[in-house]
Amino acid sequence: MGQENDIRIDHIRQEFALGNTTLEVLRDIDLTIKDGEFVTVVGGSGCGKSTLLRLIAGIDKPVSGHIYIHGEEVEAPSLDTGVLFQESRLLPWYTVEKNIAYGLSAQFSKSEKKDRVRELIELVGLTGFEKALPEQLSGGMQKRVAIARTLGNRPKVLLLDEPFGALDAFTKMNLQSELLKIWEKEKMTTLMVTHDIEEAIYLGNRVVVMSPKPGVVKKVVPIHLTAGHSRTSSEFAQLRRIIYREFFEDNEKEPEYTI
Amino acid sequence: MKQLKNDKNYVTLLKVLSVVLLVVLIVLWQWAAEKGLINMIILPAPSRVYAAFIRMVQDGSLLKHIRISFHRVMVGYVLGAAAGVILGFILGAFRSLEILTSCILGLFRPIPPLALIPMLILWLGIGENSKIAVIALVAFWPTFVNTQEGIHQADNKLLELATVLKKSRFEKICTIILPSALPYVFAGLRLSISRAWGGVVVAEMLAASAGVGFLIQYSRELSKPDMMLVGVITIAVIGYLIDTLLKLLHKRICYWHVNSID
Repeated sequence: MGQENDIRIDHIRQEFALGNTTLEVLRDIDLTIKDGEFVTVVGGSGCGKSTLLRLIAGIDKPVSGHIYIHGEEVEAPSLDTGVLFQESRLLPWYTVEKNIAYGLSAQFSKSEKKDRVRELIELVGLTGFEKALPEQLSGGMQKRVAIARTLGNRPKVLLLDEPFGALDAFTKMNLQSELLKIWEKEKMTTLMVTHDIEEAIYLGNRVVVMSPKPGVVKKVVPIHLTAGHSRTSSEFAQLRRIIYREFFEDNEKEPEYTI
Repeated sequence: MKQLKNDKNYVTLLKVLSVVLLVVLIVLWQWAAEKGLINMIILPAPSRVYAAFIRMVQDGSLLKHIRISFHRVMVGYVLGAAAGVILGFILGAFRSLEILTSCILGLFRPIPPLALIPMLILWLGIGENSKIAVIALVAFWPTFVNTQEGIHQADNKLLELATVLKKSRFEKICTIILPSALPYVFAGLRLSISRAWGGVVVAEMLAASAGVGFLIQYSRELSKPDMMLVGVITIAVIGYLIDTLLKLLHKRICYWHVNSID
């Protein structure tokens, strides 16, 4: 089993029942994600990007097609796959500490759990807030707790479903760069779904552009930023333009982009 | 002004004023009675009610009535509320059972338990059992309905999170479903106790030889409105105390607020 392709998505098709008719949400999705790669999926609402992520997470099952992670078909959620949802989904009755510990697998012993929670709290910069309840935290801090909880079991695959969509611009940029740091350190295979083109370019090694009705992969744009992850470089601006046109100037022919 | 409204001192001030308001009402009542504006035979002055209260405390009759009523309420309430929580939980958790029983429960629910007093006396006799059964029935419904509703309130997104984290069904119940239901269960428990306390009085008025309800009924027969009012005020004060106690307990146990979390 080669580690080259960590996630393999093979002819996925998904439908939803809509009254008497069925709505085709995903058609013939084929995608492979390499071990340690960060892939972002960008598309408007209703293009099926979140549906795809739920299939990879094992929350839903496809109508046809297969998804393999490390060569094994996804049948159900796994603790090796961490999922970060758009909402932080914290348990309101648990403190920060307990919420993070909630994500840890039963294989951790009590003292291991304690150590790991402390480590995670430090990682996301919430030291001093261990005993706080979610209601006492800002949206950005709640998101940090959710990130810590997701990373708890050191997942090999990280699935992010528009995790920063509801945050203000500054909090969002902060968390993006922190997420990038964590990914650079841990190198887990990561798939992030977003509707934010800049976020997709900033974080992704590749950007998968999807279009709706039915959801298909329209284009895959490799991202090579020679200046590192800078949002202000001209390369960044050009990539942004390329992807932007996929959405808003459909008929215009785009010259192939090369470095 | 908006800031003032949220101010803790402002709230405390209002609370103190609410007591003052009550005192003013009583003083006005006393004043009107002394001026002869109120017919003392219908509504005796607070001073007379107080005198009757002291008399009844001294001869031990008031305490006896309270003790008997309180005992009935507690036994009936515990039985009814416990049944309400358990049944509400089971039906809330198992959808098929809920649908299966919907016709039966739907028909039983609109029956005021107090209307069943004659029937219960027929079945269980005129003694304690029939009264406790009425209280249990009165206490059952609010707790049952609220618990069932509370179980449904569990956030599907949290349940999905638990699925992703590979939690067992039992873990989901303990960590998500029960805590979500708790505020609703408490709302039901509070409603139940105030209804049960009201119910015992009615049950005792219909058939009893002791208890606060009997006291009120008996005072009417004796044409003793001051004793009657002692009974009524006793009900009010004890009901208020129980509710306050449950409110405190509620705040202690449900210490979180859901609204500010996305």
